[in-house]
Amino acid sequence: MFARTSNVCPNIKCLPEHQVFVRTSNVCPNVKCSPDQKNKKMTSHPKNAEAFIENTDRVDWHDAALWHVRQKRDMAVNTVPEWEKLRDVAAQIKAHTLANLRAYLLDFEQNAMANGVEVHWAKDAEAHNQIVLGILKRSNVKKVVKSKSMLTEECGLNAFLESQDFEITDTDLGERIIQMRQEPPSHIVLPAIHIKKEEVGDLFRKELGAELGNNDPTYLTNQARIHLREKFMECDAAITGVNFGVVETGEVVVCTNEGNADLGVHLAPIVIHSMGIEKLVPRSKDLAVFIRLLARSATGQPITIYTSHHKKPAKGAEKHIVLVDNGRSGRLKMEKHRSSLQCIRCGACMNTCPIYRRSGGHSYHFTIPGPIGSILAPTTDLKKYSDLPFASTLCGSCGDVCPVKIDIPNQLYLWRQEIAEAGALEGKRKSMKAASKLLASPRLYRNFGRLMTMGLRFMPKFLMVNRYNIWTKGRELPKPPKQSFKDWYKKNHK
Amino acid sequence: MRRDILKSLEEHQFKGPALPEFDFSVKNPTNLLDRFSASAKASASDILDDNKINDLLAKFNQVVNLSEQIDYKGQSLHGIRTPYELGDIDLLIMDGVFGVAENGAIWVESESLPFRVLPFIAEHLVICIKKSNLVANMHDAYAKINADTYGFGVFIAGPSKTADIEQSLVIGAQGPRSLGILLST
Amino acid sequence: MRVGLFIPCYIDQFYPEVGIATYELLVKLGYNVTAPMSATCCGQPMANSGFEDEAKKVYHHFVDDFSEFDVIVMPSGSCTMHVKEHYTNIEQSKNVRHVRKNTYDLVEFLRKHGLKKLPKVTFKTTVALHTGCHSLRGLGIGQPSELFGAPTSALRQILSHVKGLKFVDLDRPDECCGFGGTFAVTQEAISVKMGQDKVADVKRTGAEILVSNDMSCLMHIEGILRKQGDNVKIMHIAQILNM
Repeated sequence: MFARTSNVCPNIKCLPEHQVFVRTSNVCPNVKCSPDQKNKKMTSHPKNAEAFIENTDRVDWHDAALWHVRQKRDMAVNTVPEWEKLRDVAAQIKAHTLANLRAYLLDFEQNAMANGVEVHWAKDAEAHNQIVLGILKRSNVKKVVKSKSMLTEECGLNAFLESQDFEITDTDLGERIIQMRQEPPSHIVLPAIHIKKEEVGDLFRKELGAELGNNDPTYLTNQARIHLREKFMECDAAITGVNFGVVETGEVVVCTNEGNADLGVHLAPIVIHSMGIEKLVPRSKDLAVFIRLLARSATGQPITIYTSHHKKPAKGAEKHIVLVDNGRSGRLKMEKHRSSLQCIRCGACMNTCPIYRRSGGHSYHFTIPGPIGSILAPTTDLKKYSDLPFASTLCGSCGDVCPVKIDIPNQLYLWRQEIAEAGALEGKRKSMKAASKLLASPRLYRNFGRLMTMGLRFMPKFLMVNRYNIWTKGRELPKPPKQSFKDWYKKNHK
Repeated sequence: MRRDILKSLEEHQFKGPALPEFDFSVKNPTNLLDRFSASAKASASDILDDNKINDLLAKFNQVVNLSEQIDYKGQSLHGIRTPYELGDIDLLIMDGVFGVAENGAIWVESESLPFRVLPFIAEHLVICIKKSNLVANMHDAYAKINADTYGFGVFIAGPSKTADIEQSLVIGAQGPRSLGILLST
Repeated sequence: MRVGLFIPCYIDQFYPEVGIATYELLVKLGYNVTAPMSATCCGQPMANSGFEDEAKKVYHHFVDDFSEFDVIVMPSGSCTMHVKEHYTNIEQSKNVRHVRKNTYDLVEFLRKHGLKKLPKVTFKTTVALHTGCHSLRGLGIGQPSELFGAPTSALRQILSHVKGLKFVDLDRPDECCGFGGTFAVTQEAISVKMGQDKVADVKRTGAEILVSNDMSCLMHIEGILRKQGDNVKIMHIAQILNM
């Protein structure tokens, strides 16, 4: 309410960039804003995108940064002649696993338990958080370190644990930065891609006592290293996400570059790996396919620096795996959308998406942004996320880069139909019916066409959603020709 | 809870494809050493020779040597009770199992480590592998690994790194600032 | 072979010269070409807005107009793709299946049937090329840069037959132009930004003309070019081949 009347978010921790969002969409992305502000939040991708684009220099910089990652991916892809075949195999492995998920999860549980790992099952986000809480409380944990996990982001784990008086530190550098800024990540692999080094410099000066005006990434990374080492040395427990759970061995595989995940896991006596149930692969042999696809798709590296296989707890330590459903089993019954569960969270679709690059992850107002987020979000709340499948030109690039061949463009198209059918677009239905009538009648069409070009004040009605002048904000209308093609044809065709 | 999830999965079961047959292993690999070295260097690892090793040993004080490939008696880990006490190691030298040519990664198993955190907490890392223990790609790698032999295993493909600040590559993030690889015969 | 020529609504109304060029070109290539006067729209804008149910009437009308022809050709990759891929929610009668199978974008059609017979054209100018996304990724006329292997362009392949034509490469040759149908209005800010970036890429190359096989893309790009007062011209590939 404050935001709408005064265009200023009263949260004193809000940063200037957050204020830009407030101006156009009445919403602040600050996760700690009060509930009634949050309720109106981020409900419209177009509005958020418009705010993002206002700063031309910034959007160009953001777009160029992500395009560069896409180019690195292309170079890496072209070093693997069997790349397209690998994608086919990966897609089939995942489809097979999902079709047999129940049996595979039971086998995985059995094998993990035989390794000395405690396996827990969480029906939803709340259950996950409660299970984690239980494990931590059991051992009087006070300080927790966490490496990158979009699943824990989905479950809101950090906010929950903080409300229970735990200190929880995100140890991935990008995640730590956004944790300090009290923002959600804007990209699933590059969480701070929307933040400039000067802003990190300012942040670290404020939070870590770093040198004023030193924005060198190497210096700043080193400041974070020192700071995070302290956290590692004081931690009682470590939480990680999981890239792949291997059924045949009961191990979980975590792929990182910084070393932070392993520092936590191998220091802390209590270790928790949070895993979405869709993350299984049947055999070690299958892992090879995914390890070859993942980093190349994500960042253009042939492999991440660390591909850690966590199998048995270290002597004297506890290891837990929390298997999380939170809507995943429900997605299995959606025939046209279930392949979205194949996602290995590489982020390639975001890097290639021309809309994502020019609107930023926060514009999607969902844990996972970009093309994959736009087909996942409606499975959780169709009405709330009805804007996302339309945040696309259906250019098809995302489907081409997806290492597990999820048919994202097709699913975007299908969601649009489902959203209209569910009545979320009732405002448009009347004009669509009228357009249909017009376009099925050559006579009506011809007359309308004449009216249209004579005035050239309207785009074809079905191209308009709002006032005609939306087109003309940034573009000229086409010049009206003297005769239509049909007029010419009638005169000249024998 | 567990029951609910299993029930939900059972209700939503569907017919899917079979597990695919595939074989991307390299049958007659050539130039493994050159390709491994090139991949390792592309990942900012150093390929070491005797001179470079001696330089490293001269440079650092707190050296822990777990490998017999290098003749150097570093500090003992005798008396270390918890991994938290390992924060002062300048250089760790250890053995790896094998290397992968397509990406310069080295497979390491925890059974060769008194503490699993060692390859991550040391400021600098050197891993020794035999030249004859190189494979072409990850398919060959996983064929070589026996999951029964380790409680923790990791492919290490270079010094720790990050590009989280404006996509500027920084070598030496939170793990070791450098990775030296000794390829012995 | 009887060719049914479909001229999409926006070409009929705003760019008739492209329809005329397409028609004349096909006649020059020796085809028996008819453009049904009752044709209107392929229904894509409605379906892409989520209303494929409401679009059924339009689909039936299209099939009725064109089922008598052996092949249907249109100077629009996006309309072609829509007919081929998305006319799935109507009963798949013999006519529907025939129309879906035998609908071609002009470029597809030329590559399949007409490259050898192309009239000799000389056109001394510098061109940049834009293949519409629906053509490139939807119909597969050319390979996009994100797949393994060297990207290819059907437009370039065909235009290489034109004497005097010099090609310049865009930095991002297969980045979407941002039109996207109703997207151009519902997401106006991003649509325009994408168009502006495409225009900047074209201007950087020094091309005199931007050539595409999709007028919807060009309509959007031209709108931005003219708003910015830029000199670059737009042409549909049919207009060059018909010179």
